[in-house]
Amino acid sequence: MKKLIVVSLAIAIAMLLIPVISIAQSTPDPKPATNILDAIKIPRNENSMPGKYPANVIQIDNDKSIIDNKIVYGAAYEMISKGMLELTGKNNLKDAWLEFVSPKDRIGLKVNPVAGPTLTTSIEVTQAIVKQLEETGVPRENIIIWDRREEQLFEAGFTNEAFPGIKIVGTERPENGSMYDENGKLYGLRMIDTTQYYWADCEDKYDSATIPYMVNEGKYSYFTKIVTEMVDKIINVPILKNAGSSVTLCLKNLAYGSITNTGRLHKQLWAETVAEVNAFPPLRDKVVLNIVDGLKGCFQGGPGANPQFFVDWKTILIGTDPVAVDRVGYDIVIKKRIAEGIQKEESPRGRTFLNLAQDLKLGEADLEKIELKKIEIK
Amino acid sequence: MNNYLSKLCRTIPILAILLSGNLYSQVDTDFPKLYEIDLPGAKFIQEKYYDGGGLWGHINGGADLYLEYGFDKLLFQEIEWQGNSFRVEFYRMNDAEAAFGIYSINHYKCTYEDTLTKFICIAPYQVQSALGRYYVSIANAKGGRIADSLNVEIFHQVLSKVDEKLFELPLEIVKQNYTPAELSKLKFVKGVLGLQNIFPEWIGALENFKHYKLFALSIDIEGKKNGVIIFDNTSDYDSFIKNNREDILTKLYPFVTKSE
Repeated sequence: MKKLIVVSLAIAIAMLLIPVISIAQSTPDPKPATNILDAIKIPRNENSMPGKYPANVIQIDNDKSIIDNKIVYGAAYEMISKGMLELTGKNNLKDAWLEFVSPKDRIGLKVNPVAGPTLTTSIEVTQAIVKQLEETGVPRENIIIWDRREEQLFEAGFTNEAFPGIKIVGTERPENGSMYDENGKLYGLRMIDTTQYYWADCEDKYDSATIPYMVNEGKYSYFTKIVTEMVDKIINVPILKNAGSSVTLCLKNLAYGSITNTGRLHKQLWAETVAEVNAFPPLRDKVVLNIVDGLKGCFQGGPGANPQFFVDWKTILIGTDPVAVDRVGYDIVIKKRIAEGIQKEESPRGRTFLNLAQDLKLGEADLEKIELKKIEIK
Repeated sequence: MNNYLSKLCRTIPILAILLSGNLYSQVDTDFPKLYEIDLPGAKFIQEKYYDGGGLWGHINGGADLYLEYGFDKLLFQEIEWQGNSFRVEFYRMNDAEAAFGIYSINHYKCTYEDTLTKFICIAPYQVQSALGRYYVSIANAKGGRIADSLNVEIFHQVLSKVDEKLFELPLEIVKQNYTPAELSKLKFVKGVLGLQNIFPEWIGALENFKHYKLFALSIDIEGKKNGVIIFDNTSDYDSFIKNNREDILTKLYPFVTKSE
């Protein structure tokens, strides 16, 4: 039978007087190596992060963006319009969008549907972006809505009915109700580009139920062909959510949404993965804009929160600099968590991925250096 | 008192009776589930089981937290009933302690809560409970009086399906004589993901330990943290004491213990 020994304050004081042998467990495990240096060697281009407006973030608030628990499409459209004009300084919306896309571009909208229809990048915000792209001259056949798991896109409402004429695709996808083809191979394997990968010196074994969501095991996480082949530009549209005492916003949405074999990375390399995967060209050089859907979101339990942690933020964040946008979003979420008593104080560890991303020159993580412009729509 | 609260108050004694000993015997085989006969008129939209790492297929990265505590199997049922949509989830964890851990992190601002002897939280949108090895969540997306009342009715049916010995709090916590309000803030963490969710300020002190149990209140009382950290081996215990002398002496950790 186990016996518990309670150590009182007095004993703790006594411990100060006793020489203590160094214990192995007190030394942090070294981080597994990654191939981030490969990414750094590849020359950047004019689209590379942090994009055209480094350290600039536009926050648009609108109290009337949600009525009767439903997102108002017209409000979302107006919020994005005003944000785009403010970010670019242009006088009309088409010129603002042409700063980032051209009608010939194949454009991928990276949404985040993983928590189901009640906590997804909203259909309304996505439709508003599609509408503004169309008004800029981008044909619908040039637009793709994508994420890792195709079924989740459909379940969250990204259907052909809601987005007629637009391709909706995931890396992990079934055909005829099966994740496997006639040869027993995952359809997801056809969607990955094995020439572009994030390597990390750690691995995990996945059971048969898990492997369809990981696509492959081993030390390589391959980029999806959606980002390496199928699109020229990416507009990143995450939802404003927490991830523990950190956030899952622009960088996380892109990093974990674009590669396979992510299960092995969460525990040891969460922050590193979130930052480093974005430093590879398929993301670094293609993501031209980040529009954070902060109309609804969550402050605890993310990525798949329970309803009592949902919150109507009624805001949208726009910027080309994903690190700066994430930094602003982080502040919003952490303040709410503290106000709700979920955590007592901000933990710098929650910002580790931002600092890593800044070190990789993907954007600005210092709030003091970020120019945040707020617009309030009455 | 409005109708909703009246109904809730009528419900609480029923819950107490149902939970007064072991729960009702389960009619089905090895896993509790709801049937159409349990909820007259209900339409069962989907039903899926997830084992081990397959939880990734249901909640993606959120699965990590459950796996950290020790996850066995999930039954997810989506039900439409009286014009409302419900997500019913039976998470079978490896033990009752793990189920309590998940419950402790997930429950929040309960309209009705019993954490003294049972673990039930009735809140807007959701009912949660730790029933032995099972962490159960019943949630509706609409909220409001009717949908939330139906949550409770569904929970009644869940109670009749689960036959489990309920988790007992560690003696060291029981001895503290916390008030019910304080005890409702009790969290159980056994890994870094749990710390990230509830106690990020303690990550530095505990992240390099693999075998510990932290039962602590998420609120300070008179400026001090309250709870117990139980290490399962002497070397970890010694290491923790060595590395946290200052905090132990000033403001942290009224109890640091080890099991033998």
